[in-house]
Amino acid sequence: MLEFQNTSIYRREKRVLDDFNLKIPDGAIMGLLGSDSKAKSMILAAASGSQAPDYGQILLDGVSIYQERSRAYRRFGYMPRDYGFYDLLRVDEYFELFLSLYKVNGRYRQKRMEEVAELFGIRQYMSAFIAELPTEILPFLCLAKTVLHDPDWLLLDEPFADLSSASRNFMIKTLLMLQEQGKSIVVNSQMFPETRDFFTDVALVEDGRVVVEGETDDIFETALKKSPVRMHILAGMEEALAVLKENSLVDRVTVDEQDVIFRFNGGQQEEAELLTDLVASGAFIQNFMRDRVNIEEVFRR
Amino acid sequence: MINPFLKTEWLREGRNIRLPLLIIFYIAIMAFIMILFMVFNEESFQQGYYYNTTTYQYQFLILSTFQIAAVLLLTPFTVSRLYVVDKEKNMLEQFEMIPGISVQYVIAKMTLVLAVHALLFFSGLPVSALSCIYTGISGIKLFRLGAMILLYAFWSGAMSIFFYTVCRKSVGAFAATLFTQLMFILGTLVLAEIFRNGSLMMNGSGRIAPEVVGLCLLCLLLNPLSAYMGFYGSVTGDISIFGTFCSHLGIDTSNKWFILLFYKVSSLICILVGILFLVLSIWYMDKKRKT
Repeated sequence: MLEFQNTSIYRREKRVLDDFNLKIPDGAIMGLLGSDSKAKSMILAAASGSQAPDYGQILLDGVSIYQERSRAYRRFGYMPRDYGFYDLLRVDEYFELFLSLYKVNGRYRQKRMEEVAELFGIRQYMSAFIAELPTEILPFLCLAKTVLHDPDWLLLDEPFADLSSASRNFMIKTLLMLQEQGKSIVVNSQMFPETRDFFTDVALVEDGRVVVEGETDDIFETALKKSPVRMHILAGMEEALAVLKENSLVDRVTVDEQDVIFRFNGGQQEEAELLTDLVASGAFIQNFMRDRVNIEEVFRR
Repeated sequence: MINPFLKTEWLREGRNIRLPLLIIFYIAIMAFIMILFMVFNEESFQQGYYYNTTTYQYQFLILSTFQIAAVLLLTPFTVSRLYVVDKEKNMLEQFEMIPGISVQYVIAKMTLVLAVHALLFFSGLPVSALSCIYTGISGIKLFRLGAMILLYAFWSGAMSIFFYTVCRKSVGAFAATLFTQLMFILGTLVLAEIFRNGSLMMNGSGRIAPEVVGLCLLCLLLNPLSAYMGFYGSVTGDISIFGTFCSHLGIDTSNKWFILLFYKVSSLICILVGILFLVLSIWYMDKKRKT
């Protein structure tokens, strides 16, 4: 388990992380959401071992990573947001540099390079110069470099940024394969439609703190309840409003000509029951639906 | 390999077109100086059997001065090449989490600077050797020249690495390196002169106080030109220019052993200044990660 305990980080006299607490279980794919991109990047950099916290600590399986840095660094693979390459190196030479830095030696080195090349579909590019590679390959090359030394934890800062939908899907598929191999993944990302089912856990980070965290399904269910219901009534407006008034789960009703917007604090079951009551009351309803959930927006509100 | 950056830097530098171009221009300038001397001493060449050794001694000294001046000017460019890609492409962010990376990184950069200058020295060796043969100077002087070039490359390289580590803009780092080099070379001479004049003004007897002479000596020791003057003296057999300046500052140069020791200590101080700048670079890299 990776755990941030009361972690505070100040950079250039500004507070980036403020008494930050977060527990990430083994095997999870944790999505860091929210508008505070500096804080989210700092969480990953701090966990990787490159940005020591000013206060608090970061524990990996109960041991501080900064006290056991010589051993801990090999358990993390970090993909920064702004990555680059040495254009004059070949892909295999680039991989060898990182394998040497992580002290992966001997026969295993070649084997590992082949495994990773196979996993990311870049075998045909191994002896090509990086400058000659197609642009869409580069994020995968950086991710391949991140997993080369076989770390337990992958810390990925905006890996899906600037990717096409197809590339994003391929990256998600690859990351899911890595999760199956026992890796835990922490991702700083926006919420894309593809990532809804990809994250097992999410944490919303705002102003250097965690606003909400938990399993993705629970978080989305909570967010859904906070999201308003929009209803378009063709006839029987008064009957419909009477039903809404009687229901204790209904809150903040707003009428805009034939549209009715209200907060509903029930789940899917209660939502279906309310709709049945509304129809039974004689209201002629053309449309009844929740607003699309943007959990970042919902929790920020 | 103990330091993985070494191989990477070698490969990057070796595949860069700028290195062969640098070597070509370097040799071309040396050859030009050589030919210029041949044209000006046409008569002795035509006679074939007579060489004006003093002229060719100066030719050798001019060539070696060019080589050493080239070290001071080219090193910031060489280091700039090594750092620009790393800075532009945020390469360091990918290495920062590895313990002890700053030491490996700085050592690799330093080694490459030395290697580039060693390569330039060996490329220019035929031209230097030719003037050495004309003069009748011992071949050992060539090795001394090589050692002097490496010493200057280390001194200047360490300074450049420090400023390229600290400064965000490459132009700033380049300017800071040249300014600091200038301060060490000319600034210490000016400072010694100021000390001397100040002492003479304070002391009515027209003698320089021994403490001030000590300070002047320290200024000269910090000056890398002192190490070069040792080399100059070994080629020409006298240290007239330097000796005159030392006497002007009140330093007694009559003792041969003192002068010998002075040059050795001056070279040692060049190395120590270089080490200091390298340590500062490593310290700054570690500090930057935490702030």
